[in-house]
Amino acid sequence: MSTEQNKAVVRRFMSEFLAEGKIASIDEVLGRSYMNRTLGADLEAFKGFLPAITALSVRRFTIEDLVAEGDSVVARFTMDLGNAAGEKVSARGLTYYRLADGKIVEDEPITAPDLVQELQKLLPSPATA
Amino acid sequence: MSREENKDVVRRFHDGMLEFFRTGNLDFLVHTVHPDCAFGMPGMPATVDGMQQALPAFRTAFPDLCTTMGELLADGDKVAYRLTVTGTHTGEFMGIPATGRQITLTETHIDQVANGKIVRHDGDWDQMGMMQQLALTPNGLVAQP
Repeated sequence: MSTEQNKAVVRRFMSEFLAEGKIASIDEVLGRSYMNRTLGADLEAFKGFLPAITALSVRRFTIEDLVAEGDSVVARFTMDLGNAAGEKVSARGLTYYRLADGKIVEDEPITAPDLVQELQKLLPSPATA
Repeated sequence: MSREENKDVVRRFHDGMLEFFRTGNLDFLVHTVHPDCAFGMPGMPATVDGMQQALPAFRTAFPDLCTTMGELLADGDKVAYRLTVTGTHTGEFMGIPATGRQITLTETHIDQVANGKIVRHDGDWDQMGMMQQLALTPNGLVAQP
């Protein structure tokens, strides 16, 4: 896959799946060996975690920069999340992605403020790290 | 500048940072960073002058700090990379007395390069992981056992 194709997969992951919530077909962009290093979640654990994210009423991800070479893409982004109670969190971050055969297999977001801590403020039960 | 030349600038910046932690010499900021470079790192100054002021405090807090660079991704005028940082907290850090604890954390950076100098430097580091390894609570106090 070309670096432009890999960037397109990262854009789709953020826009269609995280923001728009089409998680039923997330296997189109996440590989079987997917690992989220920040959440300590493999593919099944991440899928189990996603409905809590897509249940949030505000999910905005803005990609500011994409840098790609070889099998890797680094995204600089901002995100705004909010729940039905009107609580909102915003963060900025950089995520390192590695892809294989057009799918994300490694995902390491580093955000400020901390992603897991911010999600714990919004979700009804604590996010498992 | 080619992508490979841009990678070389970023490698020299990183080598200079390592040299700074060994010797205290900040000359690498002059050699590899444009004077008007914008730094976008949470909790860090936004200017070269600010970085010159802030970096010695990190060297005091973590005198043995060492960073290992992962693969460099070059794309247009940008270079992205991860760093693995290790160090021992043997000096005061942000008002917190030395704990003697060793930390290991990941950073991710994107540098924009123009005419052989870094003109923009964005980075995020795992601040929560660092505080957990130092056993600090988010407000900076050492957690009670």
